[in-house]
Amino acid sequence: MSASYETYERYGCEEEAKDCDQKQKLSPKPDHETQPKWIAEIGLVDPRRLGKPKRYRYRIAIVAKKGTREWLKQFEAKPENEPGRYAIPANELPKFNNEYVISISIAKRGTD
Amino acid sequence: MNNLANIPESYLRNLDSQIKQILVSFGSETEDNVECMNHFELGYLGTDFGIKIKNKKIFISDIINALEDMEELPQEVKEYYPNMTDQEWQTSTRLSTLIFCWFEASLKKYYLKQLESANYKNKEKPINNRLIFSNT
Repeated sequence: MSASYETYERYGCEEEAKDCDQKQKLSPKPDHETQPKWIAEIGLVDPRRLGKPKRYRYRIAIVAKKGTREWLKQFEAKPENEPGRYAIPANELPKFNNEYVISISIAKRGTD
Repeated sequence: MNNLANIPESYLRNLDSQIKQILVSFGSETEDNVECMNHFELGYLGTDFGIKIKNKKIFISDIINALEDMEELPQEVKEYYPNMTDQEWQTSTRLSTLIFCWFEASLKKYYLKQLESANYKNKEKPINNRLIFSNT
């Protein structure tokens, strides 16, 4: 039996993670409102490869409605080389939050 | 593909032993190097594979990554390189994390290649250094 939801993850700093947790949505980074928001299939991203640990200290887990993946496919960054990583454009973020996200939870790396 | 749990323990220990031999040969059989080899091991935590502190659930790559939170040049390093900037120190630690993660990813790829090999199951094959470091 297939799940009736889909799960994704993103890594971010404490400030971003707590903001996501509180608002239950992904928000543009202050002063970076036009940049896309990256999310990925579970387990595909190694946060240690991204940069300084304090910038990626939190794992932001996103539970989304079934069918989200189909919508996300148009934003898949490098389908051939790095499948499963999606760059949601800033102007599509409200649609993602309002129509697809069910819940968001956060966990500090090293403690989850 | 990510099926490391199927790797026999004997193969893991064999690889662990050979990696240590390679490292000591690369460095030198000094007291510090030999002591270092006694305190780490190849292994996996959940589905993640890497080089970890022996008998502990801590990857060394995670420790190196955590070092990056030291954004100011440590005094001990400053004594060697007084003109080094914080940015240059941060470059050094970022690169160290990336290279270590790359090395681990290469080991994992090598491992998975062995899993796919038809001859692998009943033999403990010698380690081929060229395989470990190619196609990462």
